[in-house]
Amino acid sequence: MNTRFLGATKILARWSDVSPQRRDGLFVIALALVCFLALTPGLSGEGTSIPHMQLIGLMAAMVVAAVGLNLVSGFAGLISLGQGAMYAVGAYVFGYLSLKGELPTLLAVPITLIVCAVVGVVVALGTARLRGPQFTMITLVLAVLVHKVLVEWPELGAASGYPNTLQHQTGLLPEATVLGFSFVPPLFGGEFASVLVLVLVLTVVALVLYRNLSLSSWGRSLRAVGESDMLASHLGVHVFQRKVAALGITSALGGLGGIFYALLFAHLQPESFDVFFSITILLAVILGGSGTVIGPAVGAVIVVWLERSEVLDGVTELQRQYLSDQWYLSTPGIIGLILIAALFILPRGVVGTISDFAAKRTRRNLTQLTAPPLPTEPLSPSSFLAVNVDEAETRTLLEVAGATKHFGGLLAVNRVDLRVGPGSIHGVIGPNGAGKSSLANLVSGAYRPDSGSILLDGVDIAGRRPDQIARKGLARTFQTPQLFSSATALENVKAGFADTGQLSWWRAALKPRAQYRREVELERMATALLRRVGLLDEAYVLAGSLAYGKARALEIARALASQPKVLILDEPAAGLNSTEVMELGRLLTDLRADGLGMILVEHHMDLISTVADEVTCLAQGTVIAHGTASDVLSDESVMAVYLGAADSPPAESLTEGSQG
Amino acid sequence: MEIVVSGLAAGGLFALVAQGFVLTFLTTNTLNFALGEFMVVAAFLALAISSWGWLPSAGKIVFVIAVVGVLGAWTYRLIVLPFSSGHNDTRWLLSTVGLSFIIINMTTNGEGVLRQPLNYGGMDEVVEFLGVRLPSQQGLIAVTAVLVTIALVMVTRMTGLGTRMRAVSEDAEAASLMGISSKRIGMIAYGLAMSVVALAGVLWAAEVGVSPQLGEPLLVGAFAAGIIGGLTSLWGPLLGGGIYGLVTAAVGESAGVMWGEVSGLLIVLAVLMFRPEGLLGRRVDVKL
Amino acid sequence: MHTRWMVPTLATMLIASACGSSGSESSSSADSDATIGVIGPKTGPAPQFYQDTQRGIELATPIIEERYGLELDFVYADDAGSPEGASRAVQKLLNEDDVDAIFGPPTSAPALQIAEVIARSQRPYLLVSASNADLVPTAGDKNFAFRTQWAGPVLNDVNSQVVFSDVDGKKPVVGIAYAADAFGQAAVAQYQELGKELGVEVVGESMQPGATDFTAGAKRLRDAGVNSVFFNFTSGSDIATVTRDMKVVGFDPPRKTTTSNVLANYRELSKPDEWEGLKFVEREDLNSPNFRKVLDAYRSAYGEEPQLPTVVYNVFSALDAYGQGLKAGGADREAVRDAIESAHTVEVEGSTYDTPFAPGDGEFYDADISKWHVMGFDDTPEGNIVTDGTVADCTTRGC
Repeated sequence: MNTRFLGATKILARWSDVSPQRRDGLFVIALALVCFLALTPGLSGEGTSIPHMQLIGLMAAMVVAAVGLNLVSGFAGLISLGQGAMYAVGAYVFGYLSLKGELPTLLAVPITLIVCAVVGVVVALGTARLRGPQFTMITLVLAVLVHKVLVEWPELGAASGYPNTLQHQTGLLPEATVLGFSFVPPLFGGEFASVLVLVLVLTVVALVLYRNLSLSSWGRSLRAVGESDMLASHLGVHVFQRKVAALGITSALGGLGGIFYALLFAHLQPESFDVFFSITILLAVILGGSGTVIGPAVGAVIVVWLERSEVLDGVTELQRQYLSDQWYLSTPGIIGLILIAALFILPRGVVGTISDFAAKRTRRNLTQLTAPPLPTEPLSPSSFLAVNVDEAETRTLLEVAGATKHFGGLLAVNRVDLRVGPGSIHGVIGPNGAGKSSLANLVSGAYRPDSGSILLDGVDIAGRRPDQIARKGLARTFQTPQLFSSATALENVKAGFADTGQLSWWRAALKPRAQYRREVELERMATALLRRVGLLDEAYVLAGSLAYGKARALEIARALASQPKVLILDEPAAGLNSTEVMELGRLLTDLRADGLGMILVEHHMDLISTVADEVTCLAQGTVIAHGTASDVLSDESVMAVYLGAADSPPAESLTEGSQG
Repeated sequence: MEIVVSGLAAGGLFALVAQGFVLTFLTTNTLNFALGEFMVVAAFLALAISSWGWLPSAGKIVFVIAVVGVLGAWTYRLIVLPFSSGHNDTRWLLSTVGLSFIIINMTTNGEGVLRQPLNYGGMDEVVEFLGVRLPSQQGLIAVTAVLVTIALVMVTRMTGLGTRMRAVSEDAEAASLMGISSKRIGMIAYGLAMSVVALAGVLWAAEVGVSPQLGEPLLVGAFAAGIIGGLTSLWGPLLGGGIYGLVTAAVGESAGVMWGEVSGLLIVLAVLMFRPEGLLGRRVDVKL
Repeated sequence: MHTRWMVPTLATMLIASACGSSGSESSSSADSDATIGVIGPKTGPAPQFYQDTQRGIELATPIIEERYGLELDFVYADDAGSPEGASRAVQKLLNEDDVDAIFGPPTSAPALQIAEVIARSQRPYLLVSASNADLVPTAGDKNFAFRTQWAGPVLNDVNSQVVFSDVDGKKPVVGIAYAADAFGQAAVAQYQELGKELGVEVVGESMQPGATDFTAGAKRLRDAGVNSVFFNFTSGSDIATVTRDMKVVGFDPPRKTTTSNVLANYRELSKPDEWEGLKFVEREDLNSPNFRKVLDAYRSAYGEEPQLPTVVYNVFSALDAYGQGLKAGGADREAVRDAIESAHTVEVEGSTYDTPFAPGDGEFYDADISKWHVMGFDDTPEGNIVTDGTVADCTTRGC
């Protein structure tokens, strides 16, 4: 078994020698091959192959619906139970446009997709600010609503189906025609079901666009949203807009699945599009691997196969024979069981589990095996920082004046003033609850100040969104590192680039040549950043398995990726041993030499006294001391708030043997 | 007036079932999507033991409530707890959905879809309340909803168990540090919730008959009642059920049943968009 | 931990089932005269249709085989009550099993999904339950569909004569409570047309199948002054909900009519005071000696009453018609079709029906009200069926 595995490993290793362009090309070719193979049993057009062709078509429809759903539910973490409703909308709108509207297929398809996208956008506009379970409930309510409307609305045939002979003088939708060529659906024997070719071509196109999206910075932004809205915002992502865009694309893909259904069966009954159907699409995503790229497609194929083939009927028969003739599970019940079993046994889905398994076996993850070699030319470290060192003396990069924040009755930050110039480190200390993190949050945009001004390089950022502030040149790290634990260190750094927030979805999906060049550039820059913080060897290690100190360094590398002018570090030394603290200090001084302005919120007094150019001490939200490190650390009021009563024995400077 | 009374009475059933959602969400931040199916299980169990002549009707109902309550506790332990490891983890939604499929399917295959009458637990008469004619069973269910809510509020305010439940609902981590096992409280909460739901199931089945589809049509209304009232308030279901019942009845009377149901759903959407924590729920801000 | 044994177990189950399964049940024999496919909801929300169709076939087949000296095989396919299920089932029957004739799905949605496919397959298509008018084409080319159940429009034509007849010497206010499904929607459309023609007010109230509350609808019917109400539902349990809520809101019109769907799952859920005065209109007299013969045969074979006695009866008539066609046409399906269409008489346990079909007319029953019967339930808890008389009688003496 080991030799066979080595063989697979070799193939994967050779994959890494192939350029990204060629890889994307090979992906398309592989897909085309699979589609061709899928069609072969039906080429003769014989009647007995019709069920097979219907099966392939349904699989294609489920695949596009599932990968679409993955964008929102797998990456962005918003579980939607409404994809079935979008599928239904797509099917009915397309049917209506083809029959009543008499539109040619070439027009009907894009219009349907736009309609579905608009519906998704409308839903998103109303729901994007909601948290998880509430979003899911809304999608469920919508799925129920759509189903009700379809059953009752006479224009669409209601329960008699669309179309029906009573109302529309025909029971079947007209055949799809493109440029005079009619595509035959798999309904009657004797002719090759050419509509499958149309369906599969569209499927391949959809999958290529989807894959481009997933692997791009845009996809990374969705993953960030899935991790936490706050994190994504700090990475420069306009979270609301991103969710709306994502839901629009998801809905369009769901609608595309519905279009396929209409092309295949040429007749729609509302009973086909109930809430159970929405749930099977979600099951496909989870079974295949929620959050992986190709997993949902695999899951979709499996789920459709399970539902349509007779395998489950066989399982039902087995139960009736050996267990009980009266109490047994048939297809819907078995699917429920599979759903639960998948959650237990395959929490990362089929594809996710296989990839984890491979990683464990080879002690390297798939990305290490398939990654191109890292660029080796050194990049000048300061070439990507925004500050021109010569102007250093006269500018103030960050000016906080009178910042104030209340939380209910609690005054967390009380008229705090703070200044950071280029190439300097401003330490912020204070006991727990003093308002240090709240201050950091005010500056980075996580909270809105009640009053006061915050100027970043002369621009007022008070009350702005974190992504707006990030774009203006401010980055930060968090008290507990917020990383994508199941992505590599390199991927995590890439998330910090401005592209994450600013790459548009159509550029990401269509991937023009300039995008390929940009990806190479991102790779080089990310590698250089990793080298900068000393993590080059860990480039392909999953962030979740990094030691604490390295995780923090990674967060710093990610923060630097956005080429900030000011960097806020929130307790970076917490949990580090003394060697790691020294390395951190060295890194910070290096960055200072490059002209970066930094705010260092810390408890670790040794570090503060070593690197901080000036220190501000907060207590209960108010500044109680400000000056050089040695001044502040030996200030009596500062010692009092840390150590307690004023009449306690006068301690030496706080730097000796305290918070090490 | 007719609309008000009948709407509120109809809302009583939704309120009773919605308590099943609120109790669990309050303490564990999870819901049992298979709620309707637990009603079905309770109804079929009641049907199965209807021939136990040695047990009076009230005893049978108590038995059913107890058994289903235990099932509920174990559902939490085995099907919900493993999938609710953090506030981001919503896999419990899917596992309970899977459970609902299994129960519906098994009862459909085992007993068939045709409704079977339950010959106890119900009253057949029609009563007049404030000049409005109501099936007395509906009135009974509404009254039960109020009594159960009051009982639950009293339990949570006045007993040790209640205090522990409230502690876990406020801050599970802190509570566990104080020695309160949130796992056990979760099991108790689910057990209690499913008992309430079982009671609703038996009372409702006595009115309409036992079938695998007993719970499904109620799920939307119960959901609505829970969301409108607020999933973090024990009084929520009464308010939510009342509002939902009133609105669907009022609109249903004037514009037709379908519009009645649609308007009820629109209210749910509106609440979810503008006041997601519900009318009586408490807003929770997440600290960074 | 679980992984280790769960995966191989699942795999074994899947493999074993793939080997051991046959998707359809068939009594196969190489030298039968015809193979007939049967599509029905073996699993799904209305399995009583499947069961009574299958049992009807089992009871009728020996009779037909003996009468015409034929040997018949049946292949059953489950459509799970869904349109896609019907689509898959019909493809399998047509292409893999190459059946010579098909018994179609008993409910409207699946039947409508495959209507066109069946039409083009040019095999005799026997309908014993689905009543949607679209299923049997009424004009044009050779018609392959033969329905031995009443078509929706025919049913409504007949029962509307009861429903729209005068109440106390005056034009009635007609109400129709209907299911929000194809069966119900077709009925209400037809009734509203009729209402316009006859100058009678028609009030319609819909209810979702399976819903448990009709009080709002009942109140609206009551407040509109309805004195002749018609219930159009596929499920008897829905009719039970309606009659119960009518009692609750105190709506008790002098005339209450419904279809024979009330025979299944209604009386178990209702009480005599709810079905008091309730009548249903049906082509056959369920109390006639010939119909009773069919019921007795069913009872002795299966030990219980049929849920859908009319479906069982319709299978008998369908098979008799098909038997004649097969006898005359043999392996030529078109000749079989021609023979069915031109059959002189169809016989069921002594009842005869003359020239039931004609070119362009695949409907067994027509709207001759002297042949239709009005029936109701007595006031015992079992609700035994009593026959009032024919529809013609009813309209002359006042219903």
